[in-house]
Amino acid sequence: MAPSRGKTSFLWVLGIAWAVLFALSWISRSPFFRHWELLREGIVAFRPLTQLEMPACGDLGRNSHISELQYWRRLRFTTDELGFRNLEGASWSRFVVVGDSFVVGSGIDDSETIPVVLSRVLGEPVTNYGCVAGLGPLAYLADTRSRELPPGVVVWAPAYRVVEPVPLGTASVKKPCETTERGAPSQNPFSRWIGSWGSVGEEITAWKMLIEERSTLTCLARSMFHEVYWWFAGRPWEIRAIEVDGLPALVLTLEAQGLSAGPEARRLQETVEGIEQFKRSVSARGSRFVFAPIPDVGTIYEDHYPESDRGGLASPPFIELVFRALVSRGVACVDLRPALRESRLPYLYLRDDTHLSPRGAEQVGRALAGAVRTVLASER
Amino acid sequence: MLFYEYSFIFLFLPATLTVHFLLPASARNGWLFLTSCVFYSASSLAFLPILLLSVALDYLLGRSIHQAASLRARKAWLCASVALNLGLLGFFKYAGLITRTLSDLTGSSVIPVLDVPLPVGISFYTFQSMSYTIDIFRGQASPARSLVDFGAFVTLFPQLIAGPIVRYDQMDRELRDRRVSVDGFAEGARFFVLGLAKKILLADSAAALADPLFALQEPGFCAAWASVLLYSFQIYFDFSGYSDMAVGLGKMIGFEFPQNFNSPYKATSFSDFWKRWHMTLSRWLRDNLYVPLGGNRQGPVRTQWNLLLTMLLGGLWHGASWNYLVWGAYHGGLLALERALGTRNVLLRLPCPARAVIVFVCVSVGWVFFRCGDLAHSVVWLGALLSPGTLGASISWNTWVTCILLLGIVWLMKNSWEWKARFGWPENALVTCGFIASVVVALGKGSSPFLYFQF
Repeated sequence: MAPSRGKTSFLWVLGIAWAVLFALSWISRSPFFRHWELLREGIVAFRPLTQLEMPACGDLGRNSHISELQYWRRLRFTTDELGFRNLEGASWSRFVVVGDSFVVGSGIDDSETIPVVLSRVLGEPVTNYGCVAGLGPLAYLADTRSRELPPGVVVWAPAYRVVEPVPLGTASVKKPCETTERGAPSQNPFSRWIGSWGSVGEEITAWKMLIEERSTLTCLARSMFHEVYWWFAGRPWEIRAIEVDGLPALVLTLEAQGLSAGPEARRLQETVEGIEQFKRSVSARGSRFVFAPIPDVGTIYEDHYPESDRGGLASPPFIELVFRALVSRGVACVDLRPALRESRLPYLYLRDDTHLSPRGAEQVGRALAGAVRTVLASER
Repeated sequence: MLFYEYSFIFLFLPATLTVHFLLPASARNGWLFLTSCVFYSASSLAFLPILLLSVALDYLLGRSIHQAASLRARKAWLCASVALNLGLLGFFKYAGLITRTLSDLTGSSVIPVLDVPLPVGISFYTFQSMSYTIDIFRGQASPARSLVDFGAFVTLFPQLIAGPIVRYDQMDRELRDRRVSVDGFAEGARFFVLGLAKKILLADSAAALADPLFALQEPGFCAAWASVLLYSFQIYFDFSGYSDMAVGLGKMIGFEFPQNFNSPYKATSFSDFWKRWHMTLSRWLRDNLYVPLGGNRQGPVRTQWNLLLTMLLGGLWHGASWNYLVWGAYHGGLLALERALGTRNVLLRLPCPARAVIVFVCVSVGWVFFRCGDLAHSVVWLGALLSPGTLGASISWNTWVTCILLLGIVWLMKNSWEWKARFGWPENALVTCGFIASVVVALGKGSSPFLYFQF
């Protein structure tokens, strides 16, 4: 039976549309957003021994789709042999800062991260052990170097909203050991085999993202989508614009920063016990431990938020309760709020991002340096 | 890899189809088996060995059942297959829930909580694989010609991750000999595009409006209802869109998959709803659970118990969470009640549209258990749904307009299967525009994964 004309013409029309879209997708442009952040190695760190230099805007600027509030800047992002953001010579040192994207230095250059500032002030290398979200302690304890070459001081510096029960087991993550123990391959052939298969998957994912993120089609699609979709659905609900220092800044709502949740919702007891357990593990390996959480923008610029947003703030703030409980258990804590509040103008965060600006990182690095010196002095 | 992703539409699918049509018919099943493994690997590479192990063992067990001389031996081989599949499903899906519950109940850390990652599609491929050995045991299917044929049946990429759940005898003939005509390919392409548009343009739009509402700490009456309605549309367009894409892809390579959705929100009773929603799962549960339990052959009380138990297990199949169990009990209760009332059911005296509205509202309320993360959250939502006194935050106009539009689509429009194969210029242009719009939106926004992937 001869094919129907309507169906044949449908296939032609659809085929042409497909071919046009395909052709557009192969015209390459600069990677969109912060491409390196998509190149994850396992779930803990980034792709090892990578150096990327590209224009980048902030996560909130990207997600809000407001081009006027996207501040593009050219950045370098370099990783060491284990996928942590360290320049040569700093992949393991006497000082290790364990943390999340704030410590990684999302949105800022290699030369501006908190560990780099700390290193400059202390005058010796500092290791950036910034991982994904709250997985830093888990990765650190799985890293054989933390046992065999324990650093002098370990600073655990999560963002306020990542101050939560610390996962210290191994069952809930896929491959921290493979990532951190690459130098000493596992003796278990099964885990090695799973690991090698897993890394092929990572390669495929990274390659797929590279094509998608670099394509002209994606860029065009995002521009069109920006116009149509956000008109329809509105801006993402968790993003607000506030004014600081006479200029707009995109921020997460106080709720999205976890500042309205009370001790029960944020599991105070488990959080404190988790941090204390991490501290005990670090101390047992011969390192000094400092807990220095990094305030989110809502803590430092709370008064710039609309009155209606501030109504739901938890009182006392959750972090206050964490500090009190930890101090009573003998854990050394650094409260960075006074230092940041004192120097809060000009703005300490990137105006289109949830993370610290170079100036913010500088302030945190200096405050941490003071704390580390105090710890070292007390040791003597 | 998801059907709406760039890598699928522009790389994997064209490459797979091109080679498939270039190969001789005898090599096509092997090619599909191979590409399906690649497809699975892109989502869940580490679990590919488990999938392959399940395929190999069920293939051998199927042959053993067929060749066994006595009924006893056939039963023993069948039990081995059921134990293997349910064991895999049980371990990966329910070990976490069971150990967590035991640990909570005993209040000690003696029982370690197993946090086992869930292999993608395990709920679907274990059921599909198990149906093969059950059908052979019942004499309703003959064993696959070769491991490659059986592998292609279980892993076939269009339906590997989220169904439809296909019985072996439905595909047996096509695995042996199938032909793809231009007409069949065009119909398949259109099914695929319609499904893509349902997922990207309708389901994700509903999700974009529903998600912020579900994030509210204290939902008012309006927000609770708007969110529940939107989620009802989201889950329907998401899953039926996926099923349409699967059916379309099947047609493009010469397979006819069964219909999985038949306008379920037009149902006028709860039993009617389950004949229209996730039809292949409903049939699977009916044939392999409800009927073996006794079905409706052992009196009204036993029938109602069988219905309740089937729906409870059906609920649990969706995930290891008390919420799914409650959702299953809710639907099982409604079905049992409907059957118990019989002709005394007041619903039957109402006109069809009114019955459809009532069934839709009840089904939508049930989705609360699906969407909310835990029972406490579900209770808050149900409370808000039943508190007309607390209107809460005002809802934007586009939320209500979207609800009305989507309601109009599900109630007034024909579904993909009813939309007869009219391939005139207006239809062709409309579907092509739908394709372009879906690709642009999927790439521009980045879509959320299919909801049923988590099951």
